[in-house]
Amino acid sequence: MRSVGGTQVTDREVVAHDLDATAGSNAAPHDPASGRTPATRLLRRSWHHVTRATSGIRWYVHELMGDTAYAKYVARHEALHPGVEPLTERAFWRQRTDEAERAPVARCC
Amino acid sequence: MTTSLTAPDSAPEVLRNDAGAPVGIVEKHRWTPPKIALWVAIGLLGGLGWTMIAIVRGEQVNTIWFIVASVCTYSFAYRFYARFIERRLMRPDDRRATPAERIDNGKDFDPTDRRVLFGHHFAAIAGAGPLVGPVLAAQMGYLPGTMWIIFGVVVAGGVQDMLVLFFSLRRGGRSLGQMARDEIGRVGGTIAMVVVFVMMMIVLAVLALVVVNALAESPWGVFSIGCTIPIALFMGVYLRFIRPGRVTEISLVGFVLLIAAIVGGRYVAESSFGEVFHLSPVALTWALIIYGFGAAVLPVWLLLTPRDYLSTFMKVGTILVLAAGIVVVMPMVQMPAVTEFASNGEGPVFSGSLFPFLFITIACGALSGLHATVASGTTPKMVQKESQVRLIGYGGMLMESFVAIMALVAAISLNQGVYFAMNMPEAMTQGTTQGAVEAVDGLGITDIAGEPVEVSWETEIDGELVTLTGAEALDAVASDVGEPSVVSKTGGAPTLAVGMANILHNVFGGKAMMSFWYHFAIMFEALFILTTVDAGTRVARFMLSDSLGNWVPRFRNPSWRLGSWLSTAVVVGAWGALLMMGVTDPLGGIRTLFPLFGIANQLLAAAALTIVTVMVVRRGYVRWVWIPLVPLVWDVVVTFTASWQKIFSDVPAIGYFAQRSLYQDRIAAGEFTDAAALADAEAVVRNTTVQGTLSIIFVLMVAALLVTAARAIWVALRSPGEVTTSEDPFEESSLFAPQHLLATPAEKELEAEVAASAGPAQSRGSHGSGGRSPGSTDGHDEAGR
Repeated sequence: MRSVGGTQVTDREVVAHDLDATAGSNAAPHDPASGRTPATRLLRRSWHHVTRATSGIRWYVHELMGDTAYAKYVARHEALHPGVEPLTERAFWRQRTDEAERAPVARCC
Repeated sequence: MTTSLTAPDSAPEVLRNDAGAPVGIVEKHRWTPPKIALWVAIGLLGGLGWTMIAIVRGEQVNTIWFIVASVCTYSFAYRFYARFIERRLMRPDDRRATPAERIDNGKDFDPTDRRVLFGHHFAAIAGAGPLVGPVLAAQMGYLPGTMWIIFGVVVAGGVQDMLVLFFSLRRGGRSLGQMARDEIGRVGGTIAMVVVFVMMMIVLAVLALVVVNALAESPWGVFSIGCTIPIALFMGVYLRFIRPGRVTEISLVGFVLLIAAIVGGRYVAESSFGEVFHLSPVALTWALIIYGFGAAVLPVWLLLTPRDYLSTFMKVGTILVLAAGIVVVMPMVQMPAVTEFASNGEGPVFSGSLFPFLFITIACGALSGLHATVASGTTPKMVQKESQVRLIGYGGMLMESFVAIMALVAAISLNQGVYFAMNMPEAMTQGTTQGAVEAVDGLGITDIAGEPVEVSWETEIDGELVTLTGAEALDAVASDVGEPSVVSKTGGAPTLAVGMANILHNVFGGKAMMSFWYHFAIMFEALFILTTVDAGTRVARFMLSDSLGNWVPRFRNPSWRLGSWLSTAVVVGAWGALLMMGVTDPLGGIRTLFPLFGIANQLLAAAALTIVTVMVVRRGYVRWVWIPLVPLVWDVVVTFTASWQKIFSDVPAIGYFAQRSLYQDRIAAGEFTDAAALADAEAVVRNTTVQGTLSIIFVLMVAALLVTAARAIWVALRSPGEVTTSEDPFEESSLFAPQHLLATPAEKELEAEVAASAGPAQSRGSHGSGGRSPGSTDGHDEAGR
């Protein structure tokens, strides 16, 4: 955990911010297509596509596996109960798995 | 309140709530020349695919045509039939808040990105089922199985999943049993719940049987699967105490350890230590029963959750690898389009003729009743918008069907002799390569060229490619995949593993890697199945203690340790006993039990489709009731015919009771002089009694459900004026999310609008939710609410 702008955020949220920066750079002023020669332009553009694809896959895997659950909980908690300290990440996951104990999810064949 | 997004009339209509926030898009479909050209192209390509596999046939059919035909048919079905059903029966309304949006408790009711939910839903419905059924059904040739998998999913499986999901979504995400009680009445609801419970026991037993058959006498397999337990424990401890929440990170570590366990398994198996892992089927069964009990009473974080992570990881990975392998290698089909067994009903893998037994052998992948338990109760609580149901329900099932097609392709690209040698029960092959070759000769069937089937296998000896035949070929298969023997490795999993290894070694690693790929395939199938067994045991235990709670209220308290241990013991005992019966069955467990599994699964589908039909009628859409009624009638005809034959047929190989009286007579006549043979004969009598009784119970329960449903439909039809429904009342939505897998430009524009209107204070929340989605302007998460 570290503090950014007065609110506590996890390291991963900061990573998420960085990720946003790369994912959103298409519309940003430093357009990747504005290279000097056609070759560097092509290179930059393909590099841009590669980073976009990787960050997309990363986003998907993290969402699918549930890595982002805590960050979501914190955001939700802040919106619903501003000023109340949220659970720590450890306590949150503990509570979550204990709930899974009582409500098993079926898997098919 | 609606507004047009951009200008003229081709623009989609935007639905807005009373506060003016966008909540959905009503698309106007206009046929433009490029669109028409695209669908004509897809149609022509699909037609070409079907022509190649169904009409041209010939000696050389390339398996790539299976991929082409299936993908094109799926596209058509998704675009046209699923949309037609959506418009006629579901009529999704994006102005209406889904239970996920309404209740949104951050726990089970949780609006989830459609792409992520698609992944969750797919991981929950697809397991080993679509990998096993098509392999067994390949004994009748490739064509019947392929057609049933593809058309079955379009008309039956996808329809069931999508409609159950939608109707449950409209009812606060209630489960199938609860919906049955609301719509059909108390009796129907209770029957539906008992049906679900009993079928779950059969399903768990048969899946566990597949694992036992794959791992018995295989030290390599037992070692690497055994390793998944310490790996999962390690992952669980890591997530609980070391770095909570780093799921992807530890799953990657777990995956690497898993691969190491597969690679290391060979050395362990070859070492003097390897004998420890050389287990007989009965020993393995006991191990599984003890494991099943342990997994159900241990805390979930320690074993179940981490294993589920590994399983999800492997699921996505393997399917991609297999698809890539088939597309790159494009193997040739070795199995005829239709074999003699389709008509004479004397197949060694399962007996009975094509109708009805092919349609119950392939359940998962075409129509699977168990999906209704996920499509109601779990997934609907996470859907953001009603318009996404087609993608998740129908699309998810199409994906499973595609997995089934790939499994079929892997099986039919194997030599036919090898296929039958692996899939005939030991009673026919005597468990020896020579016995297997003689048994294959004795089948009296022909290959694609019309010649008698010959066992043959291409292998590498001293760097030279040679083709071996007969017993030598079977020895070569076993040594190529690193197993002591492949004869009578029934259950489908080993055949699929050999098929996969046969395809993948051409792309990755050559012959030397074949044994790795074999054990990789066995590993993921076993992993899927064990995950299902763990979760299924737990779910069944909760169902049981909930019902016991009616008499002894204390059972409802989940923290009463003794109670949960008792109900777990009953559940594990139930499937464990069935499993032991299958493992020790003298006539081959898969051959006798798999039909029961298929019938159980398809009868559950009948129950689900019945409940859907009642809901459609009570909604007042009598004109379109044929949409669920066609698959329902088909399914009822198939399952009731199959049950009838299993109960009343006088052919001993088909009828349980015919087999029973045959063996009883032989025992009475004193035919069995040696003690072992007598014990086997008594086991046959015992097993057929159990199996026959179960068949009767199943079919009677579903028949009773059908009768109560018919009554409910009759009542609804007699009073057409009053459309009654148990749907939740309308509540206005304030959430926007795209409905397509890839957001359309109009959807992106609205996402941007939502993101912009959410103030800076809230936008922090949207960032906090873990980065934005690729390729869209995002803003579809918490920010809007």
